Amino acid sequence: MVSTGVRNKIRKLRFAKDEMTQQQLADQVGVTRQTIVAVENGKYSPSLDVAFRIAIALGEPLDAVFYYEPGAR
Amino acid sequence: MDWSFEEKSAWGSLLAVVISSWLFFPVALTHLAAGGELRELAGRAILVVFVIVVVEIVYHSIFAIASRNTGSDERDVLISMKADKWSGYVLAFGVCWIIGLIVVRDVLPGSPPPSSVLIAIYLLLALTVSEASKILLQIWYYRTGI
Repeated sequence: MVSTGVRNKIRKLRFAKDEMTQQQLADQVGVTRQTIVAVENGKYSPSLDVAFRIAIALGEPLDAVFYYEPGAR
Repeated sequence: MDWSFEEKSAWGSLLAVVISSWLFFPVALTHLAAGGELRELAGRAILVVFVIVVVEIVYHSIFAIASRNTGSDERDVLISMKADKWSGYVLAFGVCWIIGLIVVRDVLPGSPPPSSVLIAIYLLLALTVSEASKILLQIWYYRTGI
């Protein structure tokens, strides 16, 4: 499995935000649910644009949603 | 199945490519190797085109009814572009291989160069392999991540 060094707290933040579903987040961000699944599982690093839109949808700053682990690829 | 519409579409296209290749290439290559003429393959070629169209339409109709078309997003585009890049290499390799075949058979004494019809079939085969590799890579990227 391909893994990136970009990590995220989307799953945790979704549940903190009234248990938002992946589909609801995907609809707000404007991507498919499978892309949200891939991002959550670290199988896809979104563009900066989508990363910002995810953070806005979750009501958090970008660095509260995404962080980087050097050498974690 | 947790597949996006684009991934389901890729499986449908793979099915169409596999069926059409299986219907056309073994028959065409055997026929031409035995000295047959290209026009005798016209019926087979029409059948293959018909099968591709039917398989694609039926497959996509079933999935369009069963699940909503969510369209494509940046991940789908990126996967498509990466798969395109590698399938381009496959096609280039196929074309170089055919050119090499023509040159070698022309240079070597006692081996006649392949006929233009056979070259056309080889080129079609290279295109098909390239397309199949593109679809397989797309499925691979969807499954393993990008």
